[in-house]
Amino acid sequence: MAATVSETSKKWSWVNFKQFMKDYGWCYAFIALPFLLFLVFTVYPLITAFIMSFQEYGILESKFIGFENYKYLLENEIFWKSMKNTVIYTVGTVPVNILITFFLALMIFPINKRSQTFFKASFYLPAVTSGITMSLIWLWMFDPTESGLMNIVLGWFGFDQQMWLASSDSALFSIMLMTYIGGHGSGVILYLAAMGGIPKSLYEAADIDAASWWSKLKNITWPLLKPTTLYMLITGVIGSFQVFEATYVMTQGGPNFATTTIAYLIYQHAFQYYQFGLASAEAFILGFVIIIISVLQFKYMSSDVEY
Amino acid sequence: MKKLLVIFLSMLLIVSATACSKESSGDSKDKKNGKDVITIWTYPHYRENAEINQKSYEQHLQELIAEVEKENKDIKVEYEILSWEEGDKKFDIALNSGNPPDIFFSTMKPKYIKTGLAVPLDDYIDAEDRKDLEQFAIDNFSIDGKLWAISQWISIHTWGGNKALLEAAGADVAKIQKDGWTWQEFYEISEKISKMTTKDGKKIYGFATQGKNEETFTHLMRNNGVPKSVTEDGEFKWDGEEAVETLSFVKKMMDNGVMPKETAGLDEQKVIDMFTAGETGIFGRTGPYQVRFNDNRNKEIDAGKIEGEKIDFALLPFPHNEGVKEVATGGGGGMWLFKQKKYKGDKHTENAAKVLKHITGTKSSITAATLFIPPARKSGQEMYKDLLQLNTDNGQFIKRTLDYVVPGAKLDPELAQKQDQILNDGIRPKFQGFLAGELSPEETVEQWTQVAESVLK
Repeated sequence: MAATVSETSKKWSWVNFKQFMKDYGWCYAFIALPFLLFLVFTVYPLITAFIMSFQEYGILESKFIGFENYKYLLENEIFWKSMKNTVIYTVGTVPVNILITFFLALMIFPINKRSQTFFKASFYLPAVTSGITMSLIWLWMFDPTESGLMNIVLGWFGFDQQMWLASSDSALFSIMLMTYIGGHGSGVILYLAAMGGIPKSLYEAADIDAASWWSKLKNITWPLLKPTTLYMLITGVIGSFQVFEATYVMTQGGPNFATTTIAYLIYQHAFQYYQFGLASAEAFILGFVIIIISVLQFKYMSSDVEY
Repeated sequence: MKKLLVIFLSMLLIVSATACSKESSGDSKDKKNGKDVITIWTYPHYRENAEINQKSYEQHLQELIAEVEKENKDIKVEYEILSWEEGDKKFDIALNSGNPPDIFFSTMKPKYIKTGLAVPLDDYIDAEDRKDLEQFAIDNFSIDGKLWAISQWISIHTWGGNKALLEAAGADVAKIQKDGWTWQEFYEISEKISKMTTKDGKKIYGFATQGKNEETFTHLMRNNGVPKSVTEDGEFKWDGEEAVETLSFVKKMMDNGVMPKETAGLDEQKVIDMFTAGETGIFGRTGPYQVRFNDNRNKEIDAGKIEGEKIDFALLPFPHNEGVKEVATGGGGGMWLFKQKKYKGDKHTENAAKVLKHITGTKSSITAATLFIPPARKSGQEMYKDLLQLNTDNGQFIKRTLDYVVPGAKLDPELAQKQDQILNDGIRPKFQGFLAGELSPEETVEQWTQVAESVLK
């Protein structure tokens, strides 16, 4: 009797499967190629890098060394310094840039469509410029001599000239300053789109109650933009934890490790010392930190977010 | 329609799967029309200059390749001119993925040897060939008694000076070029220059150098009796009084306005800009190539193509501390031979070596001569002596310097990697901190010694 039931259910599932494939097989056929590419170009390198993080990697021969790479990193002063720099950079850039972007969007939103388009395009322009080119321009602006552009501007206000990237005290801040001045394009577009989605009736009701501009901003605009803000916060944190280009082009991690970030350290271990095992271990620690922070952000900040 | 879509998607899958499964170093790529394909990666050493009838480096390379292909019908040479900015990175990635080009232009880098993919050249060059190379060129690319690249030139490191400013400060430039100078003599002249101003009232510095790395410090240390930071025995030598004394000398120059106080933030280009703008009398580091660049610049000013003041340029030796022997520093780039992780066979390596020999042969010395750098080959120096102009004051200085160039330590790849780590984790960051005024000479030496000791233990 039991065997008969089993056979029936097997037959029943096979029929179901065939029907399922008939109905939805197309979807799988369509996602097969991207899925294959994902396996080959994302999952496979990820697994390989994970294995490498437990090896003393050599091109011709690698040796398993257990947790030695991780142990070395956790005891390494430069690793912790780079982690600290990365955290300072993230804390110092992401919230500030979100606020700057928000206020830029707030100023652009009320103006007419044509002007909006102009400003959106203008703010987005740096995003289509190569990061290396941008860094080189900033390098020129941060010239520490009296002929440096930033020093000339400071001079107009009576301030002394600064060393900018050449001093441990100001180097990391100088790199952060770059992000404050440029790089708001995509954020502005996102905020403007989200602002356009807020029902006008809410503002009309607030107007009837004689709500002030600040009150409308605080109680309508900002809360309803929370999903966008959360998205920008999470992607911003992930991006800033991976900051590399500016450090690589402008300071090479110096002076005295003041701008050595974790991503730059990974590059240095991989391509200056050919220590790919160590670099992989660093990459996994970085990945782990990013996951933890993202989960925490979702947990504590997305409770009242509506999508 | 649905069937068509299925067929299309299946074909896409097959194509992508096939593309992924096929290694890039498959036979189809290595053989073109039955010919063995040899790849060369190098850099754009100089551009075409119609004004002085100068071909580009690429054109010179093409000529050499055409010759080698003509002589060897079974060989096809493919080359790529990399950018100076990204080339090393591209090569590092190719090497570490096990698929480097057969021939690559680079300076001496022991880390390449450590990968096991660099091929020593001893089996491919004969005694006569070896004899034709300057001894320094052989020493520079030898480790563990093996020759790892054929040098194209001997790149002497020098400082450069504005002859008019030097003479205005009372310097006898010809004597300095002939006999060298001490730190004290150099300081006195630089200090006098630092009291001068340009036509538009800007301060002129006596000496300017880039502050991104410790190269200038290295040159001064070598001329303070310490030619190597790490010896072949694994001993760190920049831990003593000489290091503090050398840093103190640099500090004195910055404190007294002989050098810019912003040196920590100056890069090579900025220093050259300062020199061409007449804002510094002496600058470092440069090399014989600067003579050619300066000549070309003067010609362009004469032709009205660019604006600026012409400069009478003089190559200068590194000054040495009183009572210490003068030491010149040099290096040089050369062509390396590599095999791939998926070995292509002895015949392929032999063919690659054949190509390498030809593109580094006597005729290839045109590259060095064009750049006004002494070719590594004696036969090349003879062939292009007119282009090299070794009979000028600067040329005579180069000839003299060649006699006392002292190579760096011959470290095995393991120790060389440790030296690299000491440099990147200790010396360079601490030196930057010193230039920025954040560390005293004593603190700087103490801190980088700690790093060196932990790396070498």
